[in-house]
Amino acid sequence: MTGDVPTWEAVARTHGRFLYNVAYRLTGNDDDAYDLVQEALLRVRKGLETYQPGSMEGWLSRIVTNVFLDEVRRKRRRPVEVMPEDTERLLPSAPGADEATESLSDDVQAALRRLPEEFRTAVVLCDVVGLSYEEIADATSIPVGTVRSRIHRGRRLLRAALQ
Amino acid sequence: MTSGPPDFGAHLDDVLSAYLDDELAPAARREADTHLASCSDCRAELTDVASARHAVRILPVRATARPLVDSDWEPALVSGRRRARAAWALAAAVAAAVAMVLPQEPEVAPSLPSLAGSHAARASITGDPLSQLAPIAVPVRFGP
Repeated sequence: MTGDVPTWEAVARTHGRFLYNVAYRLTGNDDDAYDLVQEALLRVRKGLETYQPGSMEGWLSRIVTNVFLDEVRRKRRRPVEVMPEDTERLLPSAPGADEATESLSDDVQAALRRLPEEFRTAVVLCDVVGLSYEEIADATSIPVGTVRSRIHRGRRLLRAALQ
Repeated sequence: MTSGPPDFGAHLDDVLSAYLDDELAPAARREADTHLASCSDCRAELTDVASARHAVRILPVRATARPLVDSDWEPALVSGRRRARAAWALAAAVAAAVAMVLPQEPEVAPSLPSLAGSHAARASITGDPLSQLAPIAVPVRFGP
């Protein structure tokens, strides 16, 4: 990049891996993460003219988070569908075959997925993406004080789930 | 940075996360240090949230083998994608045949001869991200 607005293809190429990781931590499963990235890439393509050179990952985080929260709101307006994998994920993971680190990651991911979406979003943007509270407030259109509260409550819930 | 005069009440509560994330103004941080020195409850909670914070921060990067964009530079599976999961095997085969595969992804053998003729496919992956932007017209041959 030379200060020009990048093409969206270049964004997809360069930041697709970043987007997917964030999407996976937000949604907790590969199918939804994939859909989320697709929708986010469509919005990237539509919105690239408005991109101000700066933190591309901050900008992408805002987009992927907005797509995620839009989907959450959409689902809340519909009857609840209980997916089999949800039930599985609510059960404690069985010890044994998996390596310890992989098992720990699975436990953390499962606990993350059980957080209310607003808390999960704040925690992911802080601890997965690495945004500042102000950047998270900007990306999610909520006050910085609310960001701080959500991050803290999310971490407390995670800690309780992992004990 | 969180600004304003420190007013922590009985316990630090969410100030503890701001403390861990270095989001406190210097005066507030000093105030938090003073409180922590005399409050075992807040020290215990600090340890708890630090543990949760660390657990999320060390999560591995999750990757996918599915191509995120196809050779026409459309996000893959744009239309009807929410209904298309059952047809993922079909979509994956189409996407694999035409894909601009991300560098870390494995090659997938194409398997849909009827759809492949109208697309170019990449035969290899280079390490240069710019060169990957241009689809490479390499004929693809498919078995019977």
